[in-house]
Amino acid sequence: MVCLMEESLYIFNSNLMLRKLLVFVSLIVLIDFGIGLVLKKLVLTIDSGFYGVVNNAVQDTSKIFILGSSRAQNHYNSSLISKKTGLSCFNAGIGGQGILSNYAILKERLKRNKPDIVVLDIAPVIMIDSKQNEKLNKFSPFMGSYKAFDEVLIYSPNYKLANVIQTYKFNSSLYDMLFGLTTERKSDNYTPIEGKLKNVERQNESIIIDEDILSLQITFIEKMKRLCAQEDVVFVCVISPSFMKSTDVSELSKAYVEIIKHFSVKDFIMFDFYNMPAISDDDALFKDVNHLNAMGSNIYSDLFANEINNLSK
Amino acid sequence: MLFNSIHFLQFLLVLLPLYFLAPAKYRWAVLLVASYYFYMSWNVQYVFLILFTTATSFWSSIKIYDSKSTSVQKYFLWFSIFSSLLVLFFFKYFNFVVDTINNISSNNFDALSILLPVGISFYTFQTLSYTIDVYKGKIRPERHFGKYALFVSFFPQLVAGPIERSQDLMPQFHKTHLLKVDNIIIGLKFALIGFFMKLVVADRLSLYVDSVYSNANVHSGGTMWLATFSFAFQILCDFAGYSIIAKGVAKILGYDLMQNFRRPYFASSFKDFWKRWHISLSSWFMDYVYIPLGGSRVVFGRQMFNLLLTFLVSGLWHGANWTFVVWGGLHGIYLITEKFFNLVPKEQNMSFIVRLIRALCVFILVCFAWIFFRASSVSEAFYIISSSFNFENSIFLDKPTLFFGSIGVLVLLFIDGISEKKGDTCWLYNNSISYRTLGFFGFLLISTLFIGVFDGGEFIYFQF
Repeated sequence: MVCLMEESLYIFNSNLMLRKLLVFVSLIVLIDFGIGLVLKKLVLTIDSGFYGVVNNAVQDTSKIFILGSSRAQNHYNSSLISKKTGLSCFNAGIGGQGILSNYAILKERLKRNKPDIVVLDIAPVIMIDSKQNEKLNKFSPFMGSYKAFDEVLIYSPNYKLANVIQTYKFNSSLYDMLFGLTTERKSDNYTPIEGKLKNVERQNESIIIDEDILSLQITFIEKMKRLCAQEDVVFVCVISPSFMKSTDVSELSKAYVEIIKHFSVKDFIMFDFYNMPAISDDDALFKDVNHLNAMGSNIYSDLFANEINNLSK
Repeated sequence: MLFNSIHFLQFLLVLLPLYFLAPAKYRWAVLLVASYYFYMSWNVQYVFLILFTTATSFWSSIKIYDSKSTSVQKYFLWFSIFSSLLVLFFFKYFNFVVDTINNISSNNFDALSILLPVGISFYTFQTLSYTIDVYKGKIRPERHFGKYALFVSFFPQLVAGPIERSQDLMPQFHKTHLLKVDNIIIGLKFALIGFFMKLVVADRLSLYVDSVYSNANVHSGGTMWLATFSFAFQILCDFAGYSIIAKGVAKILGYDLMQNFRRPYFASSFKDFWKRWHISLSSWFMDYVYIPLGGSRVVFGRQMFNLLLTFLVSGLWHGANWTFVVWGGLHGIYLITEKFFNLVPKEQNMSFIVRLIRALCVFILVCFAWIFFRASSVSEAFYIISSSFNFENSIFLDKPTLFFGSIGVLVLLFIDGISEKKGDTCWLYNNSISYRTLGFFGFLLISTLFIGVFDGGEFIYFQF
C-alpha cells in the first residue's frame, strides 16, 4: 500500500491491482485499435446499403452522376434517364445527407473517373437543417480511407473524438455494415417509393433557418462547381418538385425562398422544378410533401432527361 | 452541464485534483463552489432560488430547534414549508393553474414566460424533509451554513436526485474523504453502467419512441405498443442511468448516495414496483405524505383514499400537466386494487414461472400508465390507447434503432439478472477487479463507444 501525503491520497492496495489495471487499459487500447483496423478494411469492401452507395459512387464510371439527399435517391430513375439521354447514369443520393458529404463523394469520384455531367439535387429543407453537421458522423468510417471525407468531417461535432478513438469512429455503423455485407448489390441506387400523400397538415411544422449551415453548404456547392470546372465537367444544380397545392405547406417553402435568394446572385446552371404545376399540384404523384412516389419520379425523370438533352445540345 | 457531455468530463478532471489536494477542512468549500458552478451552467439567475430555499430552510430549522415553544416551532416549520413550496409553485405550477382556469372558465389570463429551474422539485423536497425531520426531533439542525448549502446543492444529485435524507448525507460532509482506489473502481463501475443505460439504451430507444409518439396519427396497433414498451425501457435507463452515474461520481469523491432504482421491471406486484422505482421519491411520499395522512393505521376506506391522494400528488410532482396526475392516479388505482383483492404475494420463494407471469402483468400495466406519462395531453393519451387496438396497419420498424436498442436491453437484462440473483454488492458493483469483471466492463466500455448515441439530449427527469 502506498500512501502519499498525510490523510490525502491512498494509491494502490497492491501491486497486483496496479498490474491488472495497467493490463486492462492496455488491452482496451489494443482492442480499440484492432477493431478500428479490421472495420476500416471491411467498410471498403461493402457494396450494398449505406456504405455500399459511397463505395460504388466513388468508383462509378457513369456519364451522368447524380448527387443529393433522399430526394435525389427517390426522384431520379437512372435507367429511365439513361434510356432517354443515351448516357449512362448513376444515382448517388443518400437519405438525410447534405452538401458536405456530396462534395466529398464527388471529389473522390473525380480523382478516379470524370463524368460528363454532375447533377446536384438540392433539398431546401436539408440546406437549412441545423443537424446537418451531426449527420456527417455517419461517414466517419471513411476517415483516412477516402481523404476527401477528412476535409468535411472537421465540421462534425464529434470529429476530434472519432479521430482518437477507433471504436467511436465506427459508432452506430454495425447495422449498416451487417446489412451491406449480407445484402446483394442493387443494380442502381435509385429507390422508388410506393404510396400516396396523406396527412399534409402534419408537414406544416415551423421551419427554422440555420443561416450558418446554409452558408456553409452554399460554400461547398461553390467548391463543387470549381472542382467540376477544373475537370471540365458540367455542373448542374436542380431543385426537384415538392407538393405545393395545399396551403399547409407554405412553411416548407420558406426554405426554398431562402435558397433561391442565395442562388440568384451566383452563376450556376440551375433547373428549378420546385413548383412545377404539372407535378407539384398532383397529390397522386407524392408520397409526402418532399418526396415523389414511384409514379411521380418516373414523370419527373422524363422531364429532367429532356432538360439534360437540351443542355447537351 | 449534462453528465453525458465533454464539459462535465472537463469539470470533473479539474475538480478531482482540486478537491483531493485541498486541505481537508476546506474540501466542503471546493465542493460547494463546484456544485454552484455546475448549477449555474444551466442558468445563472436561478442560483438565487436555490440560495433562497437553502437560507430559509437553514434559518427556520435552527429556529425550530432552538425554540422551546411548540407554536413557535410550528410557525417556523410552516414558514419554511410555505416559502419553499411557494417558489416551486410559482415556477412549476403557476402556468398550469392559469391554463386550467382558462380552460374551465373560458377566460384568457396570460401565462408567464418563465423557464422551469432545473432540479427545483428535487432540492425543494430535500429541504422540506430536512426541516420536517428537525421539527419532529429526528435530527439536529446543521449549524454550518456552507455545509448545509452543500447538502442542498451537492452536484451529483442536485438536478435529478436521488432525494437524499439529511441523516444519510449530512454526516458525510463532516468526514474527511480520501482518494481511495477502491472508491474510484466502484465509482467508475457505477458510472460505466449508468452511461451504458443512458447512451446505449435510453438515447437509442428515444429515437424510435419520439418518431412514433410525435406522429401518433399515422401509427397504430403494434407500432404503438412497441413504442410504449420501448419508452418503458427508455425512461428506466434515462432516469436510473442518471442516478447510477450520480452515485458513481459521488463515490469517486468518497460519498455514498442511496440506491434509487432496484430493477423495477422485475417487480412481482405494484407494491414491489414502488419499492424498486425512484426509491428516494416513493419513500419521501411514504414518510411525509402517506403516513402523516394516517397511512395504514386508519380504516380501510381511508387507507385507500390516502394511497390514491399520495399517488395523485406524486404524479403532480412529476410535472405540471394532467397527464402526470392521471399517471399517478393509475398507479394509485393499481395499488388499491392489489390491496383490495389481496394480490401481493406472501411467499418470497415463488417459482420462476409464477414470478415471470406476475412480472409481465405488472410490466404491461406499468406500460399502460406510461402512455399518459409520455403523451403531451390526456386527449392524446386516449387517442394513442384507442389506436393501440387498431391492428390494420403494418408495424413501423426503424430497424437500425430497434437493432441497437435490443442489444442494449439484452445487456441491461443480463446486468439486472445478475444483480437480482447475487445482490446489490455483487462483482458488478463492488471493488472487485477480477479478470471476469475487467472483461465485462471492458465490453461495456467498448460497446458504449461502438453503439451508444452521443448526440442525445438531456435526461428526461431534468424537466421535473
